[in-house]
Amino acid sequence: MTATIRIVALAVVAALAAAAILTPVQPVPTAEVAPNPAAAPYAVCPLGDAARGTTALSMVGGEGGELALRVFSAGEIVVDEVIDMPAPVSGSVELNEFTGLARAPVLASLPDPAMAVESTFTGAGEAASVCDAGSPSTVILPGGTTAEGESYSVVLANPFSGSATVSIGAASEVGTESDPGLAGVIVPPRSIVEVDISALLPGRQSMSTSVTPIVGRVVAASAQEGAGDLAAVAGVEPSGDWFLPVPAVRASRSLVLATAGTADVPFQLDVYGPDGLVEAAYENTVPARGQFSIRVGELVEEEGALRVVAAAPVAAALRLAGDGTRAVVPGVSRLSPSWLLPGAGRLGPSTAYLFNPGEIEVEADILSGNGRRVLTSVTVPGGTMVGVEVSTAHAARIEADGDLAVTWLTVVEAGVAGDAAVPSFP
Amino acid sequence: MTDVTPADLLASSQEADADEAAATGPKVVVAVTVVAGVDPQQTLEAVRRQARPPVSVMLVGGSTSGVPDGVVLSADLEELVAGLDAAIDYVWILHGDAEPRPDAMGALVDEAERHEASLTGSKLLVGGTRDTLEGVGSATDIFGEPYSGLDEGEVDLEQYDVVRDVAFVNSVSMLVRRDLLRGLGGLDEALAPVASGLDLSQRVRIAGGSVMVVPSSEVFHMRRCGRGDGGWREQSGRMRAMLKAYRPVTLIWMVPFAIFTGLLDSLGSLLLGRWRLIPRYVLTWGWNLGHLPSTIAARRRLSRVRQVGDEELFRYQVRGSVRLRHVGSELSERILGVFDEDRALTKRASQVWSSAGTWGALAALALVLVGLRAVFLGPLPAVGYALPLDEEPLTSLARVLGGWNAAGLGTDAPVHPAVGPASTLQMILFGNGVLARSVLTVAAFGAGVVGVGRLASRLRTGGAGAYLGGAAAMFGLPAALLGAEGHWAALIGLGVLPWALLTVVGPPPPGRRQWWAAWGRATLAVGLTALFVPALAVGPLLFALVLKLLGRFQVRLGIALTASVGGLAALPYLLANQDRLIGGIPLDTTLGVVPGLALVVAVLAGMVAGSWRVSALAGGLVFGGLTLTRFTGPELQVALLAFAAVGVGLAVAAAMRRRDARGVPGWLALGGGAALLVVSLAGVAGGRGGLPADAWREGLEFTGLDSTGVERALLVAAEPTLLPGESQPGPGFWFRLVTSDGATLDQATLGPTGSGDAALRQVIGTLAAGGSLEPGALLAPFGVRWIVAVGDAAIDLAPVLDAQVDLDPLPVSEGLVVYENTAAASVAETEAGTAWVRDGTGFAGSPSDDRVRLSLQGDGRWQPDWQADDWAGTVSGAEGVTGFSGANGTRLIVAAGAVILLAAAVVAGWLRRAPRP
Repeated sequence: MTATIRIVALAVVAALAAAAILTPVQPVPTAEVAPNPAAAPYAVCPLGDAARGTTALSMVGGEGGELALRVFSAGEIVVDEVIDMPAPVSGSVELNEFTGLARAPVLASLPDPAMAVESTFTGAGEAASVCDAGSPSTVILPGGTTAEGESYSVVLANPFSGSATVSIGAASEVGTESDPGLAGVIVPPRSIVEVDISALLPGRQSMSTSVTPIVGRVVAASAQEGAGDLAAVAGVEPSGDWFLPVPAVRASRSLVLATAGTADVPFQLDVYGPDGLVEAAYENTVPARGQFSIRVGELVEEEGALRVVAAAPVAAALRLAGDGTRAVVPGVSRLSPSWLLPGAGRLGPSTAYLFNPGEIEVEADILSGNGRRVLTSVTVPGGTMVGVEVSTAHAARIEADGDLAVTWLTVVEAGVAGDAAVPSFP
Repeated sequence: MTDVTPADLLASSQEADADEAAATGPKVVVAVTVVAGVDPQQTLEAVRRQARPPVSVMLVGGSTSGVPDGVVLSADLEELVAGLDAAIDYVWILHGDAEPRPDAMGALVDEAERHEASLTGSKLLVGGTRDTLEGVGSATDIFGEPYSGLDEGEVDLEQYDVVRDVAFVNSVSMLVRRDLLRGLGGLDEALAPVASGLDLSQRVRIAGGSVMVVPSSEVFHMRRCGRGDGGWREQSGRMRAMLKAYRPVTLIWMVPFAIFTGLLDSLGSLLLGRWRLIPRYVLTWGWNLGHLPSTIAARRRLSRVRQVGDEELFRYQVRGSVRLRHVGSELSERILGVFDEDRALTKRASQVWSSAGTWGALAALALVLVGLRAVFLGPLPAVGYALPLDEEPLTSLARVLGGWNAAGLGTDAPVHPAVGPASTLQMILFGNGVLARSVLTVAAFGAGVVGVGRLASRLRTGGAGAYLGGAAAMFGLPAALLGAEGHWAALIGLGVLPWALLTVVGPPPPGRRQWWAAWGRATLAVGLTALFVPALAVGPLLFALVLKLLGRFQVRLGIALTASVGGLAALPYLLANQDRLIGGIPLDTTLGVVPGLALVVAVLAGMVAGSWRVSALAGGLVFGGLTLTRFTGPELQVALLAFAAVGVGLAVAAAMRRRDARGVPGWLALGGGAALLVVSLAGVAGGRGGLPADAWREGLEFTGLDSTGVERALLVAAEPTLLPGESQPGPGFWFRLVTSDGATLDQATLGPTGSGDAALRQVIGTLAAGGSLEPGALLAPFGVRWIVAVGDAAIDLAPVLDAQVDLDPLPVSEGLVVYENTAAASVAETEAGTAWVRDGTGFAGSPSDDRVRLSLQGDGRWQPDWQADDWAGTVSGAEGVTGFSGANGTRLIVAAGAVILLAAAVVAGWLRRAPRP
């Protein structure tokens, strides 16, 4: 009897041991899924200048509400204005209404993240650049030059609470550039730092810079001045796919591709001319931490469009240079049927360039900034680019029934300004 | 013709020798001192049988009736001695309850003559026994305390049979030179028997005589006159004897020392539960003060015959105080006795050091010291649920007793009951919370090792392995699983658990008194266990049921059942945290390959090798406990792991049990047990009792900087184990709130969630998505001044926390990313923005007409004039103070539980002398 009990006990304990070994432990619960990053509820305009020229902020899109504009400088908020923006939003303000600071970067706290803000500059020329939220990763500022008579600077704006440290990379026709002044640039909170590239690396005909955050976040933009005009461009986030409408202007047109990566990036160019698509019309490589520049006139005689397909993220922009002309128009990396053009028309009559890279034609309405009035409607056949005049004083919108890539350009006597349109997503 | 045998011839020859000796040798008078209530006939008969007949026999202090023929009655010894003929050489003083052997007097006389001794005494044997020693002369200490060197009940094997000088001989049987006795004035009638022997012996020595014990003179003593080992009269007499004997220069330092050692003796005896010593000392000194005139007169009389100094007395004295030595020995015996029920450690030294249990216990305790070495060098780490105590123990106790629980956004749910005993100890230690945690930890680990050892012994698997099993229990796999996630309270509970289990094992108490004593011990142990691990309140009962099922072991089911009431104080916590019994964030209870293999071998081989019941019990506890942890929540998991830890201890004890003949299974079991022990010792390595390295002790000190009121810190981490205490899942990370006082033990568990938690989750979601440029403003209503991100969470959140304007990053430490909310508000703040400070479990500030917003989970029991405000609320600021009226149900139950524990402690203490079954 005892032996039986022992055997049973042995079996029970062995079974328990097996259970302890084989029963899976309870999984440690994981945290909830991280939310998709929300659209930034703010925009930073680093290049504000209320002394030497006129900087205007043009707003379009989104629901109405209170728009808070804070001009920050040397660690302080020197201007904190709240503007009521009734819906549908379309309007602009000039910075010299609030401040007389020569360097007057602005942090715009948006009532609706869907609102787009553009800085437009007039003075020794004309320029425009979109106000954005910056990026936690590398952005590229393509299309600069430090040739004689040109000034080229990178402006790093940090409107946030924490100090930021960034590293600036530079590439020119001579390859990757280096200078101690470009490494470990500290941008204190609520401050801007302007790095004069033309002083550090003078004499480069074509130059692109990159800004890589090490600590914190900055919003970067570049400003250049030469030949009686201004050019400005906000930091471009690299992408593998770019669409670039190419307008017909009386200036030298160059396609600039730049990468901050450590590997050469092969790419191909598809050219969309009057005769349609010329697939893989050009193939080449962007050198590591370098840039590649090609005259567009060699590819497109008049108007047309380019599509860049790269093996790794690069930045792409169209640089316009000529007598009295300086402009850098970034490419468009995402297609959308809805577009906001906050800077279009602000500096004078503008042309919106609608590029349909698809094969099916797209019907598009060009609306006033508040979206209440259809200025004109166009059909954009597949594989073509169409330019449409925009005369409204306060921005414009484009609503299409298919995907488009849109940029705009203002050509006036005082200079040339242009920018990529801002895609609008519901 | 008459037959004459050789024996007859020898007897007649001896009688002839005796008669001759009586005629020619020293003449002796026997003085039998009557003992109250004792008929001296037996003594007189024994005297009559003496081989060397005395000249006469006298009865001292008796009544005139019933005096036998030939016996002379005398009122007192002094009168008797005064009336003796000068031809008498010796007086043999004999107690009326003594029975000398026939040759006793002859031996005394012969040895006195041979050694020219003035006073000789007999070897005393306990009456009614054949050979139990009562005394063979004695030494004393400086205070007159006798020291015989005999063990209680020591058998006479002639081991002391040497005629030698001693400090004194007992007055039960002493032979004194008549002339000397007359000169000294006889015995001091005011003294108790032993003290009077001491007194006479000392006076003899001072007079230049020698005092010797003659072991060949054997006297049986019926002890009717008293055993001489206690009583204030004996003590008073001894003190008087010394006061009479010493010279003044000796008395000057001896008396203060006597008072001082008396005090120490009294205090030491109090620790042993004997309170009578204090009044005894008082009576001793009072009696001597009362008899001071006669003592002074006696000193004067003695000074006339003094021949030698006090040095001659010191020669026969032992060093130090016999009383203190005795108390110290008894205390150490009690302490050592804790280790072994069979008192292996308190036996003679040779047996102690040859006992495997001794070495096992010492090795286990050494392991505890090594395994807790960091605790001796600094504070315990603050990590997981092992958190520091609040600086205000009274506030912590108020929280235990139904006061507001500050965890998270606050709740009326009770704090973990471990806060109660920990804070109580903190109060006792003058508010030193660090010391309280350390003391509890060291005590728990020591108690755990000893407790498992004793439990194993009670389950008949004692020996070296039992205590090593205790070390395996406290440092082995289940304990390591508890420690890895910082379940400090569970480790303390594990230390008490074996004692709780011990109380339900054993035969039923033989009487009502013993039953209540056992109940008191069981309830106290169960209650203490439940305070640290609430789910273990029914643990001992379940253990008893399992033992019953296994058979053979004696189990106290009734006590186990009723002792569960000891866990009442932990009931409100369990009720409020029911979701943590089955749900909640589980502990990782992975059974590693190596420890698992060692466990299986030790348990199964132990069962086959012969300890099948204990091994089966151990296996059930370990494997059953670990298996069940896969299906339960953290509150049950810690209880099951504590049981599993005890199981590991029992498995080692059973596997390493000493066996007369080990077969293959025996050796396999030994190997498995040893392997399990070695594997278990991995927990010793850190020196923190298995707890991880500190994470939060100093990490949050900055949160108290520049704070005007109570504020909170939002802690975020990628894993819940990286945060102190309980945390909540958030968007891509885990988070929890702690007050600016830091993460404390009372905030370890968060309690039920409420509408405030939902609002906070929404804000955190917005923050994590980067949906606000001013997240600080969103967090301000929750009283959050600090955001502290740990590890990967800091990296994940950096992109959104870098892009905001009201959270200032602070460089605090390498492992933490800290932001200070520049828009923060205090937890209690007036409409004008004036912060109120903490006041117990409530808040206080300057009285004002403003209302005070409380960023606390809404509860209408906050006063005065509570008004809900979304998930929080406001109170009137007019009184300058606000407080929570308390969860009355919790307060009642916890208070009742505390009273039961107190009552159990009193019952166990009061009836502690009840013999343990």
